[in-house]
Amino acid sequence: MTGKPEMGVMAWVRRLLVGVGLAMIAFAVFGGGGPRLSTSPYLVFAARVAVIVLAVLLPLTFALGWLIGRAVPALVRPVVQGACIATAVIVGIALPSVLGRGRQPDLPSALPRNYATGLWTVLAVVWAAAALLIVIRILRRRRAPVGTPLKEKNP
Amino acid sequence: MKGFTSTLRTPRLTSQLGVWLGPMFAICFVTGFISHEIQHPASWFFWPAHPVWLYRVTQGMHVATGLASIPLVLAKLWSVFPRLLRLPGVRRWANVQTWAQLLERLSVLVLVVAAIVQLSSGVLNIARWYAAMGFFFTSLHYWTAWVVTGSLLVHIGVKLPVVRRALAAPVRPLRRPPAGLTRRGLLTTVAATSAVVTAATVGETVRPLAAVSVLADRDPRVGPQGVPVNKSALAAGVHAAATSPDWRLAVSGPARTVRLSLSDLAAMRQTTAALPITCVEGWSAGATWTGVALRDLVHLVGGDGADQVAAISLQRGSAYARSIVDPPHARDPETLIALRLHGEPLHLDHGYPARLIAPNRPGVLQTKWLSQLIVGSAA
Repeated sequence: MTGKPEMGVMAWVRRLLVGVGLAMIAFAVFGGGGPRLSTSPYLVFAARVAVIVLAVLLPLTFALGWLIGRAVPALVRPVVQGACIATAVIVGIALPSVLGRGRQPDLPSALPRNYATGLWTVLAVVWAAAALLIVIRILRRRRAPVGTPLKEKNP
Repeated sequence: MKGFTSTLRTPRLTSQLGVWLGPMFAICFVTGFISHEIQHPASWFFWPAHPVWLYRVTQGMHVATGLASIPLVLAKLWSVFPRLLRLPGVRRWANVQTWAQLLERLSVLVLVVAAIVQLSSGVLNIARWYAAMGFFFTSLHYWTAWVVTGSLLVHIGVKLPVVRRALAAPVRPLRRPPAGLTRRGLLTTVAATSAVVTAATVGETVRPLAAVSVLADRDPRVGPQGVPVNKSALAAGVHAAATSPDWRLAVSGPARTVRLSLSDLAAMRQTTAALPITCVEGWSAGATWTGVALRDLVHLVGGDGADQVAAISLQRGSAYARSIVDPPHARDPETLIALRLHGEPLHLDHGYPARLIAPNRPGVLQTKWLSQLIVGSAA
């Protein structure tokens, strides 16, 4: 479909995928979902979450990555980066429960836990694992002959 | 895009994330479709009463897989972010040479936004933060799923040669090794984050993990009589009618209509069944229910195993105040008009004086605070 002409099974698989995909979108739009998908509350929500993720959260991630690249020693940098990624995702997923806006006084079995404590607990586990990995990397570095770079698996 | 210096952003990384995400989105779509069809069945759709745990598994997988896919989606967005920013100018749009290029750009735009909407609204829904959405979640989640899956298939169709090349090419050492995470390190981080998110939430349906799942929006051990509820009697506005001594269950069928008091029902043959209550929001809890088998009531009013039953609640003004019990469930010996839970009379929030509980159905169809049963032909 792009570049040189493509023949054979693969070309038909691609056509099939595109055809089925377009049919599914058409079903959503013309098969009953169109009026609902075009309502303003839905479109406002879509615009809001897209802006939050694409224009706020991802750029913040890049900024944090840039900061880690300059502030954290190379030896422990991968572990810190990984732990920061996990932290950001877990906080994002837990935030609605932590804020507890869905709680109702007459429904104590919905959102029954202390989610702030739960979040701190999960993050403590993540960073404990990160600390363990950092210690392992430091020990490995100390045992390696002077001048030997820390061996990474094939990137 | 000179600002994006990471050497990790390669077609191989993006393709690998896509290979993981594809099956996860497929599981979400199929399980979500099943849940929708159970609630709004098409004429061709059939859903069995057994095994009793099947819906518990499909809906538990739906929510767990959706949550586990969030780290992957974000990593994939990260890996293609510079390309997303490389929007064509007016001239380039005018020069789009093939429909495939146009399709690719549109499908990527639709896919990215729809996937973000789908996952964020799902997270808000299980946290019951409905006000943050401003629309009726169930319907929009369903239609958005079609858009996400459709645009994903278009995207795969357009990108298939790139994906095949990226995955088939031998892995060569990078000219400039990354100063931080390697590709393998990033993939491990994403997988580990998904695993942590799953462990921290899946206990809402996998009871042995309830104590570990400190971020689960439900605890299957917590609730009146040790079982969670999704709608209280107070919120349903049924307190007075449900506790009135004048309460009767009206059962009408082809031969007659009977009006049964709670003591009438308790005097009939009682059946006990261990059935899970499973919410569309992904949590579930096993429980032991005791009551009158629905098929006994169907026979009482002249119906038979081919009939369906409409179960109607005291609740008014709710989409879930009425449910249809199809013949496979209506004639199943474990489908009960339950009067007791774990051996005790039903708590008001569990549907006192009588509720429907049937195997392998979503909780929203297990009508509480029953007032009427109408037995009739399924046709």
